[in-house]
Amino acid sequence: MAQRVLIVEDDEATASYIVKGLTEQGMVVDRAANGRDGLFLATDGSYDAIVLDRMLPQMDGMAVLGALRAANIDTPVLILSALGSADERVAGLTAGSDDYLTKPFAFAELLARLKILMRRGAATPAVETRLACEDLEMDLLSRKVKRAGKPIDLQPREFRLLEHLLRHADQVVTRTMLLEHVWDYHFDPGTNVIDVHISRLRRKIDDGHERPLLHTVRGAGYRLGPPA
Amino acid sequence: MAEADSTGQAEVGLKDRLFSGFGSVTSQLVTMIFVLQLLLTIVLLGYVQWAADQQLRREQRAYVGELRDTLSEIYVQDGPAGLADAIEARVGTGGWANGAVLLTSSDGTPIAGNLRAWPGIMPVGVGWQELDLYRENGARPERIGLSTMRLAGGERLLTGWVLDDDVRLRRSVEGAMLAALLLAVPIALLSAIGLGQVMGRRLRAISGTTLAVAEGDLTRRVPRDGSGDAFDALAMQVNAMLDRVEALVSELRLVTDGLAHDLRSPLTRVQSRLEQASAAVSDGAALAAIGDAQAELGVLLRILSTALQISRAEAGIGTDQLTEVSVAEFLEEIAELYGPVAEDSGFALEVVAPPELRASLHRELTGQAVANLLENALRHARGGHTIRLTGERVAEGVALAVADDGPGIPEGLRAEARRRFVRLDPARSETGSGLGLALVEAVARLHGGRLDLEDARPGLRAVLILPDRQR
Repeated sequence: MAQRVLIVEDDEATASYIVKGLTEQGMVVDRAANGRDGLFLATDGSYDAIVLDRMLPQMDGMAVLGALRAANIDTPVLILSALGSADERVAGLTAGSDDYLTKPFAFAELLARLKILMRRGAATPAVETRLACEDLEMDLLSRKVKRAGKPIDLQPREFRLLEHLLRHADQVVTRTMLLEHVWDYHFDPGTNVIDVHISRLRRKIDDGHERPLLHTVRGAGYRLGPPA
Repeated sequence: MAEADSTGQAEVGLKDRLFSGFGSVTSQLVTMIFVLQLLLTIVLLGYVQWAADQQLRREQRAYVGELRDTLSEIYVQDGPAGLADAIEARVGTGGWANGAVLLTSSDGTPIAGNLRAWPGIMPVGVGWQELDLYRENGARPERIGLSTMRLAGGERLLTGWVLDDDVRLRRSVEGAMLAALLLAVPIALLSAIGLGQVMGRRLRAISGTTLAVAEGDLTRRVPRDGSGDAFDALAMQVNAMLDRVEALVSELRLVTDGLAHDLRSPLTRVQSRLEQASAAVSDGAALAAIGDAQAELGVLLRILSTALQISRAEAGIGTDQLTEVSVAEFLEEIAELYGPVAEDSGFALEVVAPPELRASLHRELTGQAVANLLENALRHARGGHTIRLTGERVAEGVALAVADDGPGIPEGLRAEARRRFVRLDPARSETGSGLGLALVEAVARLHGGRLDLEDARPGLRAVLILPDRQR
């Protein structure tokens, strides 16, 4: 069954670009051009995710979000806004949104985040003690990592990086998502700090193995999983 | 640092000139006021003495005239002999201790009186004349004020007043005046110093305000006392000027903020179009061109978001998001994030901070500020081997420093390095926005602190001072 996404965005060009991109990904997309229509469409709760602009005519995006959450509709919401400062982001997240993306954005970034939101919305996993991807295993209790039964020694941050990738195995994870979730920073580092961390991690888990697991997705980010 | 130093010196210089030392404006004013007050006192006392003299002299002349009139009346009533008798009787009983009287015949032969002889040069019918004369029993000549007249029978009458006693009187007046003057000196001095202090206090109020404004607190105003005097008027005008400065700055902020914000939507569309284009074409040259355009757009977007961050930080947005963190942990996190990149560039990253040191800061913005300093060091510290992140307690609060052992920035260029959109080394920083240090400064100001650029001998040491909050 196709995933259903609602876009609430007043800018025509941005909206049609997102609609087109998501449709190409096989999703069913509805669009509302103002806050009130967006809330009306969202209240039936049939969407897998909602992309919500903040500055909207007729009804502010934050008000739409508040109304949805007040009505116990917990469809994952990704706020897409030009208001990109740290405090605006905190305001959006505390108001009940599940992710916050700043304009201008790359479509790959939006897509990667949406897919993760929808996966999360579909199945809330029980408390996990073990993560795995093919022959790569991570024990969250003993904090040990093995590949093909051979232990791999990881720094604490490398462990968290790999944990994040494993939790989203087979999904595209962008650099900014990694910076946000592993380091809890939202700024855009000028240099390729994340790439260097990834290449070190890759050396530790992929070197000496025939099937590489950590892949670079051009123009988007990284993916942990079997080779495409 | 150079900038901060020079304003610091200017401030000290101003205070010096205003408030202390012999060459200071205030001490010159105090001296001037003192001298003027003293001169005024002297002139006043001099006038009082002169006026008292004049009054005395007038009274003496009146007395001499009265005496003359009285005697001439006796002459009219009792004749020459009667007048002579009356004079003799008065002189004989010791009257006129300070008076001088002489009645002579028409040829000048003395008939009665207490003068030895008619003064030869003295004509008859003179209203007032001062001469040195011997009185009958006088051992020395005395200064006497005289009036002469001819009586109806041709006799001459001279009446006068001895002025010598007045000289003594004048001396005692002078003594009193000297005492008054001695009293006036300390009073003048005290009032001059008091005035200097009042002036100094009011000037300090104004200079304190302008200094605070120069340091970035645009909301400060000079306290008014509503008296409408020159200082109050100056305070009013300074405040009016500061209102205008504040209005202009906030207007400028609004314009740049709005501009940066309005640019986001069209740029979002440009980015979408480029992404769509790169998906649609397969030609290698076209893809490369689109890639270049996307990279340029990335730089532009980064400049834009940094500019927005700067203006937000300068406007003080985010001051309510300060959290208390362990400085050592905070720096370790950044060092951990940048460690691999630094290592690949040939640098060792060290963190030096006491484990118990804590600071209240905006984690996201301060993290970005330190990251900016770190990236600057990675980019510019050619030939260096170590970058040291330090956290330490200083007098004002907590200092976070990023020090490298590269070539550093020459003293003269440090002020230039802080200016927006300026890159000292354009050849090497093609991805830099030229806003890195400006953002760090804005973050420092958001915390009420500042950014210092120092010589690390060798290398550059950038210090972010975060003052303790007094709340």
